[in-house]
Amino acid sequence: MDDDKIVELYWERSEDAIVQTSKKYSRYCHYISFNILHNNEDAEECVNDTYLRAWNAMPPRRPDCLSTFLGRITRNLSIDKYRKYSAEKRGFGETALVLEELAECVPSSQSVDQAIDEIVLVEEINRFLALLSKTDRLLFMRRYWYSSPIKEIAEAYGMSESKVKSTLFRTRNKLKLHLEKEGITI
Amino acid sequence: MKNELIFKAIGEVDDRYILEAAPAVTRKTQKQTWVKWIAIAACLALFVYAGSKLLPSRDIVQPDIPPIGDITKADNPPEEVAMHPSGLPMLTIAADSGGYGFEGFSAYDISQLENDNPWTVDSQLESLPVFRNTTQSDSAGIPIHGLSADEMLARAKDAADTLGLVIDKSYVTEETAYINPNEQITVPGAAIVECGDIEIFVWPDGWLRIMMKESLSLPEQYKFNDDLSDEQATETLEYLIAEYAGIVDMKSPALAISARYGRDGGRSLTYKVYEGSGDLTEKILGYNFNYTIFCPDFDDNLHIIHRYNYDLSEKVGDYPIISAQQAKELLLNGNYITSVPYEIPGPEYVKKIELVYRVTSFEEVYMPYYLFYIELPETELENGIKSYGFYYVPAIHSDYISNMPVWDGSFQ
Repeated sequence: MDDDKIVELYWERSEDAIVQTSKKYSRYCHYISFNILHNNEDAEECVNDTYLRAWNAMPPRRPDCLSTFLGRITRNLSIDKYRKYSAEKRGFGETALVLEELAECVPSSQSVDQAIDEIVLVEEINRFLALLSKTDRLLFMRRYWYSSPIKEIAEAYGMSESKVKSTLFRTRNKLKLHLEKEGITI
Repeated sequence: MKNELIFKAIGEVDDRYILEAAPAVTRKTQKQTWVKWIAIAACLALFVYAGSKLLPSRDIVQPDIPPIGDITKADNPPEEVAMHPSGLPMLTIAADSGGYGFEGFSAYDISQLENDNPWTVDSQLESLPVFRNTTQSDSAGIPIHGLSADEMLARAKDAADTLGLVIDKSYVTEETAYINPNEQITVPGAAIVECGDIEIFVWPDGWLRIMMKESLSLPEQYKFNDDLSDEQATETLEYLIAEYAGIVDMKSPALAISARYGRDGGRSLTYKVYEGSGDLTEKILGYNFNYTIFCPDFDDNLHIIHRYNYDLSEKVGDYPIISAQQAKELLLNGNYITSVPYEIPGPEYVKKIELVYRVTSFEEVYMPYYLFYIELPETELENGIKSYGFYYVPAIHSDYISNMPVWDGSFQ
């Protein structure tokens, strides 16, 4: 079923909205959540909650792109749950590594003169992504939006793991420099 | 945590970058957490009463029921259908292909979820018709059977003519459907007719949608929003029915205005009109299969009209139904289907009962169910909003059902 029609089901308050969303996007959302949480039950809970959030958001929302609309909800819910994990010192997988890597992108505070809110940061990252080559951007997004494991990214793009790692390393440095150049502090 | 801020900000980047990098997520055999059907080969089943907990593990899911979408009429010839001694075909309850739904409504109190379903607990019915779903879909919800491209286009153009609109552009989109895991076909997706600021869509299942890019204002005396009283909402709906009589196209329009509540306590109204002519059975069919819904925008204007008129041309037969009380006993015995990840806390949490046809694209047949609204104490919010989960019990006597659902009580 096309996304437009699924969104209409939400607006019409049809129970089929969740059935159709689940059919089309459960695997996508589960993938996103599982990469962050590394726990099937918790990922399923986040996916369930995604549907509930979507149900409550539409109407009034009418997302331009349903997959990313749902994916963002799942990602945010999963990050919240991950924080709870951290607080409870429960085990976790890829997210710890992803966050560790992203720490390298934090601009050094000596070089900045501008406070920042999240919207500005998002805009800067958008600009940065537009400047990257397509391959670099794909690797960056797979690793830091989808939290995909390095091994999986290497297989998906036909690269060696070391090549993926080195490309990501260079891209992280570029992001740090970009943010510093724009006077961003976090 | 500064790195978490970056991680969070990356989450909000442009859709195009998210889509561009989207992984090809392969079909994995994931543990089914809520589908709880017992699979019994149809050919063996003349009488199945699922009064005991027959399913030892929730991980065993419908091995004998092919996934919806793999079933086509050609694959499922009539001679393979098991027959009840009465001569009626045995019915198979559709198995969803997976996922993690949670179906229900929220409200401060169950009384706020009243609707105008023509069936009431006092209704006296001994049988109800069952129909074949003529627009069954593949596993992605793409209809394999249904209206042809020409039929869809003709319906969309008729609607434009009825509204006196001048057509600027008309076309039919295409979709790829899987008739089995290895075979794909191109099918018509939707017919679209553009008339200035109004777009008319028709899908293969006959769903017609009229969408106003610039919402249409109503005469000043009519309000059209989610906060109206019953009287105000009735006046508005009666006006809309008269104004769009050619689209509504019913012998005896019956109003069905109902409220919904969001988790934040916000109210929304559904402005529905259905074919209310005929006896109670016909009214029930009209309520479930032949209706129109008017949707407002945020400024009391008309934004969308939905017209549903499902194809009921392939009647399977009239089947004996059980009473609401018998259905409640089955419910409490575990013979239900639901997407809700909670067990029924107790009989006192059964707050409402309705009779509905489940009309989803994965149903092989449209058959009646008793729909129970179960209050879920686990989900009550501080603002007083309660959730009422949906639990379905087949209304058709279990003698006629080859795979009566059994809930094994082992969610999560």
